[in-house]
Amino acid sequence: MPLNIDVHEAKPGTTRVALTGSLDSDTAPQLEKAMGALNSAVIAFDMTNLAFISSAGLRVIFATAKRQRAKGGQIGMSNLRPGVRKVFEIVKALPDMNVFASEKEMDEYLARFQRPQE
Amino acid sequence: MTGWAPQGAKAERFGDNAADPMRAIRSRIEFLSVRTKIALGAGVIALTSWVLLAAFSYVATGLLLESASKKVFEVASDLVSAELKATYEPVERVTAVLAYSRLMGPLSEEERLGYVPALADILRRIPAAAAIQFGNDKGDYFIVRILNEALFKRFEAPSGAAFEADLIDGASGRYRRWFYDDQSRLLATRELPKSDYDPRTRPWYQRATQASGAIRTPPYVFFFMSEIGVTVARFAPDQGSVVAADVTLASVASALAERRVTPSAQTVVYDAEGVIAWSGGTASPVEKAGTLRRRTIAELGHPVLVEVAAGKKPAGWLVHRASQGFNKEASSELIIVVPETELLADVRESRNWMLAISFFVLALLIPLAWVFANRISTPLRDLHKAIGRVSGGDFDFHLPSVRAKDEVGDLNLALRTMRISLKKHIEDLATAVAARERLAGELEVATRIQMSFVPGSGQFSMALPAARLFARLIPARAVGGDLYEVIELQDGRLFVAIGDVSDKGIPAALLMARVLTLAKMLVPITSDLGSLASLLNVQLEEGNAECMFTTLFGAIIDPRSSEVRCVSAGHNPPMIVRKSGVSLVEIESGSPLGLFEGSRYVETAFRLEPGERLVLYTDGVTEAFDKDRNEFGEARLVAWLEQHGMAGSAEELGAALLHEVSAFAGEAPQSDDITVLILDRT
Repeated sequence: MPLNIDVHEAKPGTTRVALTGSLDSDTAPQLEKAMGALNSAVIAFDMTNLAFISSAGLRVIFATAKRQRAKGGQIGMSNLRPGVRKVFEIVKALPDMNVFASEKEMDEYLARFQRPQE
Repeated sequence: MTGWAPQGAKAERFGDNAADPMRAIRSRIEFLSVRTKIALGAGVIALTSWVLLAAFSYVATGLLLESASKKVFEVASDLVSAELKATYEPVERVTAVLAYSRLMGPLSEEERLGYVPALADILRRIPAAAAIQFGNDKGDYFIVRILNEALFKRFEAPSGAAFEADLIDGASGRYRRWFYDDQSRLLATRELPKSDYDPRTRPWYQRATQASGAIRTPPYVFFFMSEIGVTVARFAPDQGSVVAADVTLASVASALAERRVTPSAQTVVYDAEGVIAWSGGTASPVEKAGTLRRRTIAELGHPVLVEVAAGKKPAGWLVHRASQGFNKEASSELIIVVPETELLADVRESRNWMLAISFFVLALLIPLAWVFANRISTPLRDLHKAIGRVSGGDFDFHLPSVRAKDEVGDLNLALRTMRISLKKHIEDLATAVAARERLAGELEVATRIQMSFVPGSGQFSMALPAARLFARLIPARAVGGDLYEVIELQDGRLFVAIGDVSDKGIPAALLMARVLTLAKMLVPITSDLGSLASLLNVQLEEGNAECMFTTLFGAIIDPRSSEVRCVSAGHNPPMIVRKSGVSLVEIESGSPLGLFEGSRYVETAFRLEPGERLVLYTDGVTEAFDKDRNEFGEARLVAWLEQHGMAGSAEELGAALLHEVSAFAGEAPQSDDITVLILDRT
């Protein structure tokens, strides 16, 4: 299953990345490349249409998070499907990630996070 | 010809086309070579042009025949009229002059004869004029004649006589004749028997006296001369005299003969009384019952004219009829007949020449088209051959030298470029293939090396007094990120571990090697599994910008107490298979190793009694997909173990489980490394 990555700047400093399909070892390099090209304070992943994530996909998400943290930025994920959420749970990663049930929640959180920077 | 398919193939191909001959022909044409097609096209065009040209020239010939004959006839008609006019006009003028001369008045015999030389001179100068005569109201008659052969004999003229003059006295009837030579010298005088000839009874005299100017009689036969002619007469009322001149039409006939339209053309002028003049020769009068009369057209003996006179249209002849205004009273008619073949002989000949030449020129088009087509198709054939050699993998083929700047030249140039790029491409490909083969070779070595890191090189069985072990690792690619470890500790305890490095392939394999190396080092010197996990995490997290991580489940089994202590770093919970059923190992898992600094790991303990089994696996088992992207799943694993978990040995259970997963995936490619480790407590 292929992966479709939709990257667009929702507002200045915030980039929304909508993932559709499967983020596995075959498609992870695509996302890694796309993330490497990003230079945004906040990266918000919309996982609504992400059907599957493998450890290779997790690695890219984590690496993105690590890079964001290193430069004082932030990432968020919203609308995780149960299967995807479970993968995050197994690796005990959820406490370290900003995961939200809806985009609205994520927007509110990220807006709060951004305010001091403005 | 290279374009033809084998006979057998053709027959098969055209077998069902019998119903549609046009399609069959088109299909046949498709097999022809380009030059044959062009030559054939040229031939068809040439033939069509020629047929059109021929048809047009035939139609044109018909039209030409019509207009040409019309013109020819007009000219011929005019010629006849002109000839007739030229014949009698001078005579008319002479009579007009004579009508005012003294010859019209009362003259003595001597006086009259004195005019003979002058009149003879007139007759000599006007060949058509045969005689000049005078008659008056007293019945006197005077005539001067040229002696033609017939007259000479009839009058028994003395030798040397050229003219004669007759004088009849109206009152006494005395009739005398004088003969003259061509110098107008008197040769003889004759006294003839009395004549009752009275000029006043003659038609020419009577008509002249009733007319104001010159009159012209209808053509009739001159009895004495045996010739056809007309008499032109003029009356001088004050003198009571009529002057008349006989005009023979023999010259008209000879003029008609001279000016024939074509050699076989016939021209005839005739009226109700008979033929006046004929181009076929002198229409000599016919004698019948002592009188002479003119011939009818039928008596001319020309079959075509006979047909025309009968009102028929003779085949192959053009007929022209026109009324000839020769005489006011008696309408005469002109008939011209011309054989079509003769009239149009020149036109036909030139047309045939034109058709022959044009046929030759158009026929020349075919070889010409062939030659030109050859100049196109020959380089094309060469190019085709050259391309054929490319298909055979020969890139050093010889390209035909095409200098032309046309499409063929462009094609040649394109092929030249293609040859270069193809050659380069193939070379690149060869290099790439070599590189790939080298890499594949290296990977093969890497596979063996990686497998040497895990016990049993990926397929491990071990029997201890307290347990039997089976482990199997199947990487999805040449090298992978799954790992397992079995270490017998010095105090008799057994360390087992299973793990899964994020991602697959070489990056995963490198980290896997590092994890195993670190584990081998740390396991013997750490007492607590929690510390072990923490130490590994610290080591792996350091400088790990790529966020490569590994899950790990580690356990230490003490065979004496049946106690199992274990730790999990984000790994799938192992399953315990007991007679009572299958259960997950309840354990508080930490984060995968290498991800987060300061992750905490807690050791948990449970009991594994003899006869119970511990099944460790990686997500390659639970996340195996079939071709419809259905997951094998944890539930299916539990259900399968419920059914088969206690059967057979550890090896047999492991093999059966792997077989089950493989059967589930079917044709779908293995998406992740698969590892199973089964510990059978004995």
